[in-house]
Amino acid sequence: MQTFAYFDSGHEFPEEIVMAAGFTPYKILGDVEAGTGAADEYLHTYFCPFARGALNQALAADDDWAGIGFAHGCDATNRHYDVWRRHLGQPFFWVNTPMKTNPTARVFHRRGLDDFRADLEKAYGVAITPEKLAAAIRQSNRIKEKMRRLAALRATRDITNPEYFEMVRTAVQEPRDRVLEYLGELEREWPARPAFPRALVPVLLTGSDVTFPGWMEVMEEAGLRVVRDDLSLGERYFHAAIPETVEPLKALVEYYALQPQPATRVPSDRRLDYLKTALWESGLNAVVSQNLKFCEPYAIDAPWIVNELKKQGIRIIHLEREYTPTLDHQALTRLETFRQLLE
Amino acid sequence: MLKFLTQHRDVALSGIKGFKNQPLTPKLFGLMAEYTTKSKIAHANPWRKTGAPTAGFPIEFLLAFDIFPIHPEAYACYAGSAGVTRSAIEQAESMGYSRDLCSYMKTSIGATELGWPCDFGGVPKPDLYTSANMVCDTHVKWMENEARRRHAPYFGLDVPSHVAGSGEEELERDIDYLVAQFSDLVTFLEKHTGKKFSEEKFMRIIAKSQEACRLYDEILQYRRSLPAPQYFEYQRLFMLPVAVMWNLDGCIRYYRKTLEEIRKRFGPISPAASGEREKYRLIWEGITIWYKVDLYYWLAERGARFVYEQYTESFAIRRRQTTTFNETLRQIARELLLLPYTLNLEKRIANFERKIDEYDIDGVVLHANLSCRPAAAAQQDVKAAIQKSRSIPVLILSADMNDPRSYAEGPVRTRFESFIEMMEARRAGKEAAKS
Ligand code: SF4
Ligand code: SF4
Repeated sequence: MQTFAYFDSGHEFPEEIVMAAGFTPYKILGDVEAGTGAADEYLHTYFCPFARGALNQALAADDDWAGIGFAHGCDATNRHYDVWRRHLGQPFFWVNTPMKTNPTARVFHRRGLDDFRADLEKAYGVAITPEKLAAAIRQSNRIKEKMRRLAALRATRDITNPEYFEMVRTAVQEPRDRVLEYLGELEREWPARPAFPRALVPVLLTGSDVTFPGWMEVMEEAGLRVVRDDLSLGERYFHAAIPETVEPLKALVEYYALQPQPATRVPSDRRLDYLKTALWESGLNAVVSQNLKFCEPYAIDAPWIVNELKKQGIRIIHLEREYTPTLDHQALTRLETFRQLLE
Repeated sequence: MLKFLTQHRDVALSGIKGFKNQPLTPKLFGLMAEYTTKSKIAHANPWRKTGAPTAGFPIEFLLAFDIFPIHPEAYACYAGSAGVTRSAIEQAESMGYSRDLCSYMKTSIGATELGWPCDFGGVPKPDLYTSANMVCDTHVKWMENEARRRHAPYFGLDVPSHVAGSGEEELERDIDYLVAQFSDLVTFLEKHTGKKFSEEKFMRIIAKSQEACRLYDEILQYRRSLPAPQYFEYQRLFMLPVAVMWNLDGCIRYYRKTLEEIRKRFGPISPAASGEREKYRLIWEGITIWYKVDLYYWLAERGARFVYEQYTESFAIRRRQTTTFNETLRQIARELLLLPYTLNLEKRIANFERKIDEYDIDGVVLHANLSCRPAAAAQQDVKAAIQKSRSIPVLILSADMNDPRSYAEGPVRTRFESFIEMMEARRAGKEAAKS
């Protein structure tokens, strides 16, 4: 099965339409080890390094992908699309996901999904039938359900931060059957793990998406274990199920409103609500908030999120992090200090 | 104001010096003062609400509810022109806003927090906030957060991206979406003003804003003349009345009078030489460097003048006259989707090529604005395309529109010196070819 790659600043890209067209959806995450060199020819170095890393990967992987899709997200997706399209050879697709989830936005969203479906059909000569879409949704839901169950084990079992990251990375990059198989293996293995290590402090992680394991390792090294989060490479991806009882494209629109919200969406109070609920449900009182350098949506929200959670008596640290494969010593020191405060 | 003058004497004094250094006519200075004075006293009228929009937001909807526009970006530009942004920005950074974030936003938040008046960047508390996302994420995040901080309601307009490769079909779909949102906006404004929307009144306002934009655009067109009647350092202030629309009648009178004077001086618009051509006619893409008007003076001394900017053009987009209400809504939506400032790469390059020809351009400066990533996207491609199709020098200049900490005088001037040398070499080559 051919791979269809997508660049998404949240969890907005409708993977199921791509699956129904007969492709394996592949979320472009860049390769922090490879850096951003080739992309820096086209994008200033003071732009989001993750976005530059993604373009860097695309420039190298050009021929491996049958097509590339973008979902309307942050300034990086919205403004870099044209640059990608100019320098890469594949068919390109733009999905104008809305900024809101109110009734007006839903009508538009539905039209956008319909157009995307029609564009794929035309470009690849395939028929994306309601039955195929429904099957793709069912498959996605099975994946999400397994991920939910596995993620819940973070609070009670010894599941490291990089292992959790790897579970989500696999889910957004590997062929669907392989993902189900892999999650099945984890379902057999993770419950048998030792109990949550007493030496570690459980925290919730929020902010820009963590797209490489290095940052998760830094947190692990600092003695902080992520047991909840609201990241797109995390709970945003599997928190909700896609409704199966309504017409498939309508279901995708509804699903969009059920997800934990990223900072690019309005009203952003829903993002805070999710964090508060997650903290309350899990009995957590510590949060690591971070933004990737140059990531505006999360950096702008940071003072507000930090203040609001502090008002709730939550211990919270906010950091700006680099896009680097090497151990970020400065971040490690700050996280270690934070951990000491929590003990 | 008095309190500010006594408490922040240094800021006030350096601000006055900064304003005095601007190329202001008494009339334009008077208009700038009128806007801030009215902003300060707008609350005194209990029948009139105030609203904070961002650049590009269709202000006419606010005006249809008699809402006075409290324009945070405009005040941030005042602070930039006054050259007093640094401590306001540092104040915002001390509140947790990153060094890498937009310096308009930080000037505004910091100056407001410090209690500065709007002439120096502070924002009087509005009754509501509105913004749109077609230009940047910051517009949305900034206004929504400020609305929350100041306990005021917020409305966000979602403008889809008309990316490269999109056609009329997508445009029509996106227009439908915006028109539906205008209806949500009207509901929001009715709720928060307690007034009923009147189509007739809205259409009267639109007719005025179309007239103001038409006049302003004609003045812009005159900049094709050789020499141009106005340059960027003046244009960036001259656009204030149409950008903010706090007094549309006054705006129309002002532009009409200016246009009459220009017409008298230049006759009909003609790109043909009507006087002495500037040595180097330039385009500036991106926001101006507000605190560095001296850079433009320094360039002027060397014969380099900016005669076209997408930035100053984008504030007068209501140029096409419409008659019916529905047609007007669809036209406003179209204008939001095809703003000169946010054109997709294909259209942006085509627009550059057209303007280079129309305005007889010798060189292009692309402001790689450290504060404004969205606007600085794809500049490398723009540069390559223009150099290829028009063979003129293109300079990518790294600076920041409101944060003087990101401006290095020496390197900037050195870069401009080599840029001028390149234009000079091209000019000499052309002249040699002619003779
Ligand atoms: S890290 Fe931030 S700026 Fe970068 S793609 Fe994600 S949301 Fe956009
Ligand atoms: S300067 Fe750029 S980032 Fe800042 S508000 Fe304006 S358009 Fe947005």
